[in-house]
Amino acid sequence: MKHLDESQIALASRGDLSGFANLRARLHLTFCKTCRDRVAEYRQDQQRVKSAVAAFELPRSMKWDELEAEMFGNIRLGLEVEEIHRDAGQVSPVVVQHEAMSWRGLAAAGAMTAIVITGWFLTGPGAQSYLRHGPSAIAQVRSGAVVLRGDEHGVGLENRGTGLMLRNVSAPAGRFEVSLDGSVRASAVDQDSGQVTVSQVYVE
Amino acid sequence: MSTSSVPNSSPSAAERELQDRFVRENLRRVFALIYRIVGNVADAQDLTQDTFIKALQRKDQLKDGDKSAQWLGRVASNTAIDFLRRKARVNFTEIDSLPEPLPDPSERRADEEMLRAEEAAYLDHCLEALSVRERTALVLRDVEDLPASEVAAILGCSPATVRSHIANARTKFRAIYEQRKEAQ
Repeated sequence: MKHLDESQIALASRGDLSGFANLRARLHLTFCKTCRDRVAEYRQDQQRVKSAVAAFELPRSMKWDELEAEMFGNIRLGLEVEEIHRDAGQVSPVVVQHEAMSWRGLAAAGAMTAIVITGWFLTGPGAQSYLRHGPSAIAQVRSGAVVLRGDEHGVGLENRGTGLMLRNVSAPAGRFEVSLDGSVRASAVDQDSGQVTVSQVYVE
Repeated sequence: MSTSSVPNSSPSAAERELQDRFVRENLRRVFALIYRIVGNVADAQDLTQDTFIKALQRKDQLKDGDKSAQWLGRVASNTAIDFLRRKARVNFTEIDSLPEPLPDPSERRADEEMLRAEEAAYLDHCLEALSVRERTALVLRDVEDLPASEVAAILGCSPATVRSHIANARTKFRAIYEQRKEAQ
């Protein structure tokens, strides 16, 4: 009796042979213990492959928990950017720009923007008078003595006569979110680059 | 509780919770799948994120837990394979007998191997010894449990070609695994 060759055994182990070859292999396996044992070895290999893929190893310097948290945050950010672009009536550039700017680049750019703007306004002129003399609020929430507010220029807060503001530099804010636990957030889409700037202030 | 000004397309709090749970439950599996296909952490991270963003924009696909996980696997595979195609790293439609240059396992794992179990390290070595097309076909068929016809559709090649990739992958994996047993 001629045994199945190695490729046939490998494919028969999960029923991947086609048509007549499949029928012939099944018939052969009914009578041939040698080939059945070889099929069983391939089936064990399939379990080994599954465990090897599931138990992947990261480079030593990386921790899964940190990578997971970073990806989770970026996914949330990416979904928000998509929503903001939809609200602004634009096709999102996130996927299109994949080659040009990675997620890490996008996140870093967002963080840098926020830091620069915060620094300027904490030391800049007019911060204390913003809430009293600025344009009408589009979104506003009070948390204790603190008033948080968003308008077309950005978001800000005031507490007993002092305050700060995060001003949108590239474009007027097109979307506001207020949270009753004490935060206000404005999102602006730059019409030329499609870059989204999210400014948020919150009370702790 | 949060509210948003109009116009907006924000998910509700319940939808966001569902999204978060979906991501947490599937993140590691999707990352592992993509990592095995593209072979490096940075690309796998970007592609995993892209996969979830694409998937979560199709909320209708998230209603059935089991089906959505399987569907997510397909989105992940397609995303990784499209990436490899864009990078022109691999053509899944060709079968050739020449082995592709193998990644050097020692380059990435020299130190890691000291820390992990010998068996796991050797299984990694077996997988890395496969060509990209073999490994991808094997992972989609034997890990993701996609039928061969669907693997062929994802890889953009004929069912006969994909069966050849799968057979080569399994026999090569077996041969390398056996070498170790003989060496012991």
